[in-house]
Amino acid sequence: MNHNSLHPTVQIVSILVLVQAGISVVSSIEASFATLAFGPAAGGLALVNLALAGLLFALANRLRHGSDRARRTIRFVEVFVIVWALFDLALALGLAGRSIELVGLTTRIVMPVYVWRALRRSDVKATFRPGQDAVAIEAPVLTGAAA
Amino acid sequence: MTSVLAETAILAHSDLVITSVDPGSYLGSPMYAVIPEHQLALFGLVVTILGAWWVRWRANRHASCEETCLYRRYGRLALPERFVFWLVTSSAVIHLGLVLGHEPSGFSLAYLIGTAATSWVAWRMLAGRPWRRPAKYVLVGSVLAYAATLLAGEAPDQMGILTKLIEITALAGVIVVPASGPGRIARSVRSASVVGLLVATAFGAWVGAMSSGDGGHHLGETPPPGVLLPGGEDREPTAAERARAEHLYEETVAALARFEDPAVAAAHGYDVAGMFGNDFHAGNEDLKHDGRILDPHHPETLVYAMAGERPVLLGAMFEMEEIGQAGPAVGGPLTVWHAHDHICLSLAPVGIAGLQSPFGSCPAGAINVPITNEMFHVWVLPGLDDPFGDIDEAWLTEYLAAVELAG
Repeated sequence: MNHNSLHPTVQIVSILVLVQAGISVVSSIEASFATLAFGPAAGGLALVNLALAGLLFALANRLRHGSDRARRTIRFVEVFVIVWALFDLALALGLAGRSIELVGLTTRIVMPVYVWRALRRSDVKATFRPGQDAVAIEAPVLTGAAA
Repeated sequence: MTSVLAETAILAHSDLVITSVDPGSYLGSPMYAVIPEHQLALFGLVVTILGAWWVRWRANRHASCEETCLYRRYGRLALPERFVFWLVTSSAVIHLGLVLGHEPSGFSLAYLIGTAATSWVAWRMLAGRPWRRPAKYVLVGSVLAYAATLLAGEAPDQMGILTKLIEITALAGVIVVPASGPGRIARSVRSASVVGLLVATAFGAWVGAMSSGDGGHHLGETPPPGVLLPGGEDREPTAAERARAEHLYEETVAALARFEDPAVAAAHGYDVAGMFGNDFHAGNEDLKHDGRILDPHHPETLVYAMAGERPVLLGAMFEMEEIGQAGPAVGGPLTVWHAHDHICLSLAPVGIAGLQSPFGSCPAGAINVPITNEMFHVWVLPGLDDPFGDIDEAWLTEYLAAVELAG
């Protein structure tokens, strides 16, 4: 599939997924430091977050190349992120009587909801070929937009 | 109730006789709040978001207006460009809000420059002039300038971090999704630069938040991230408060002497397994809901540090049984209780996995504990200036080295 034929919203979504991947890298580094301070509980999380970052980079890249599988996988990941955020929001409201802070609302609810909704819009979906993986999949590294 | 408490009323938080505390009345790290000087900027951001909807609607209605009309110019932008335009415009409005929200200073001049630079980029986009290169310089410059001020010791807040997130996202739109792009390596470098700016912002935020705090265990201090203090100003303790604090300290030292051997602590139900580091908390679940508060003979947690292979008892941590219960500050401002917030709790294995990131999340796989019950430390090491506050890291390292050397 020629990625220029994709809906322009896909480019915005891929930017947001790239930023989410970057935040996962930050989380991975923070978990590594936490391992030193608080013990081994965070060690596994550092690896999980690094793997998540790699997955998101790859998905952002494949999405730009028209992969419908990437579109569906990203939607699944975003649902997971939103549900987790809502659980934390319930804890914050229940225990501390306050909401998630501004940045958390943006990164954990606003961005994932936008991505999830955008990728389920019919005009966006129509530009993906159902069930198709990316035609010109690049290595799952920090690749940017197609030339 | 102990003898210490029996002598006095419950003097919660040093001045007021209260038994409960509103979690919202705590003072926490500014990293998790919007400071008052930045609220105008937040208002500006909300207005910009509403303005974006309005302009979008007007642009659709004025698609056939004159060539130079703003709505038509806006309508010529591709969707990803409109996305970048609104992010850059948001940054400009936020910077303007910061100018208006602060007293004139070097910082407000910097905010003014930020307003001008981001407005200039937004205008170039509307005017149809080349804008990608200026946008790169302005956005990267703004993010790096912020990181530099954080590294110099300025405390971050939610508005500052959000602004940088907006700018980094805009930059991603500028450099990662151009109309035409270079080869794979160059594109990878561009994506990596976005990640690098996120890491730099987070690193700067941690450094700024940690270094701008005053220690965070006395009234009136700015707490570091993860610590909540009750509101109020510090004051000199009264003679009675000083006497009660000394009594509490002496009673705790005497009661804890038996726990210098972790095996004795383990026999009393403390979880000393896997001891490591300079701040190992060995809790005793049986004592956490036993109805005894601030009982030196039954502290809820013991704190150890490792001097080489040898465990050293640092002191005790007393805990309240419920969130929102105020601890009894028997020594007035000498014995201020604190709580913790934004703790990341790993679910498998269960354990503390750090503090909430400046970007608002715990690592995937950890939940965010928004607040804990109140707690209070009594340190029993000889030679400490303040047995109830923070132990100075350098002092502790030196002390542990001396213990290790002495065998």
